[in-house]
Amino acid sequence: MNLTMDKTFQVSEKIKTNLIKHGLRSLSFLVFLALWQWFGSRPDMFALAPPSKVFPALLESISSGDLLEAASGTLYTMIVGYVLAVLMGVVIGFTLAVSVWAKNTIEPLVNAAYSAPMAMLIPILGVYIGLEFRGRLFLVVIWAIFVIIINTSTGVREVPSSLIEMARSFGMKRQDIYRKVIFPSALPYVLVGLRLGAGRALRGAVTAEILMSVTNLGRFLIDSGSTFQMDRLLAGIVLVVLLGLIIIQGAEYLERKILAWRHMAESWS
Amino acid sequence: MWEILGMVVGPYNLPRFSQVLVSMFAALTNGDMATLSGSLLQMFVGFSLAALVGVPIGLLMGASRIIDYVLGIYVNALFVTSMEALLPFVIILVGTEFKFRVAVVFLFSIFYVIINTAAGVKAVDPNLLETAAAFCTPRFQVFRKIILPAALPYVIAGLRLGLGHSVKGMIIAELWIIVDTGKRLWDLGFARNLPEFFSLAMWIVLFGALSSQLLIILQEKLTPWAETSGILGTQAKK
Repeated sequence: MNLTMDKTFQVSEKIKTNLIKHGLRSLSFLVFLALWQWFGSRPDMFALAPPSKVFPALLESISSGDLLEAASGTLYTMIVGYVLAVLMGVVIGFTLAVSVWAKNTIEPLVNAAYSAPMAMLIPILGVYIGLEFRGRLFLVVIWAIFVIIINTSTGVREVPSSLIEMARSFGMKRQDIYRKVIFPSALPYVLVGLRLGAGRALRGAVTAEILMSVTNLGRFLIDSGSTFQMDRLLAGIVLVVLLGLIIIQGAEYLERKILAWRHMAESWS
Repeated sequence: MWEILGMVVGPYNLPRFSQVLVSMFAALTNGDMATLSGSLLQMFVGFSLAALVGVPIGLLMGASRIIDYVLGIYVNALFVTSMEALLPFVIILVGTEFKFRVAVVFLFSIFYVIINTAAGVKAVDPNLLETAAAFCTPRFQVFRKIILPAALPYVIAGLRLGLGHSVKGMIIAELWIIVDTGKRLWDLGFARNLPEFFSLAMWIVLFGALSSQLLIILQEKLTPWAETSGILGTQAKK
């Protein structure tokens, strides 16, 4: 009896903190919008369009189709590049973890490339692969692949060796060990890599469109900026922020779904 | 491997490693180094600003749930945003001069600093805080003697990530408005002067790695009590 009361108390506490949390969040968002409106309407702040202009501009460019077209172009580049990066990154990361030779030769390069500013390669990408779709695709791939490689190889290395030993001593086949022991155990790390990679792929796609060949969303932003259509520019930025949020939230949601068995196992034990 | 590859595909496609090394030394005298260090200096201005603003915000966000709720949405939303999309906006706000690069570097690095600092404060062992509360330790003392030492490794890890992104921000900003190092990279790329291009690129990577290494040493000196490997490991996953 006492226990159930305790539980209901806890639940109501939880609801209360949730209320405070969401209340404060929406309040802060309203204040933010109000401040933005106030600053944006001041005549001396021509660089900042108020939200009352930005959101209609956003709706208008969406309904007229040009923003959607630009965004879908950007997303297309991003998705193709991301899929390539995932396929290559997981394989390379796995190889790095199981082969000593690969670890000694490739891993330092991967670490260096991960921390190096990849954008500096943009001026010579044109020399090697051209600035059009293939160049942008390449940029997306190098933006996303290293975080996937590093997380995959960490995940495979972190598989508890006792698990592998036990599988061996029970006479499990090599292929089965990979499939039933190493794969599920490394999966959480791999998924973190995939989630981070998705965010970075979007960044890569936007960077490529702003710095390499001005197309799609990059063109939309730069054109509106250089013609001082601040409402359109900010509308584009809002869209990019939203896209990023949607992609990251979606990836987090998928990650939780896929790993649901893991949390269940944890709460049982 | 690079040397052999360079010999096979010919100098038109990939310079040999030895040539790049030669141009790396040449870069010391022909003015590339001056350009690069000028760019790095501006980067450090932006980065120090980000650290000065980011660490206090992060501490507040970690210490107070209310501030976390109020500010958290913007920090996280901007953290996952492509900063590159903000370039056309920033350029209209602050122009193309010195301020532009500082602003871009600031934007690229500050969110890493904030998020890591906040995570560090949140990761303080609750047992320690309870003990302090039981002994009626004044709030300021709790902050200085418990929270700060516990969060410091995270703060430095955040600074290190932020520094890495400052270099990225600097390069992107300079490539976009075509000045200094960015201009030099474009020029070398258009002129297909690959040995010098790669040498400049190597110098940038070296500087980035060096400054990040300095921060690791600083962390080990300042916070010998922290298990470096654990914290750096979690950061790598972030």
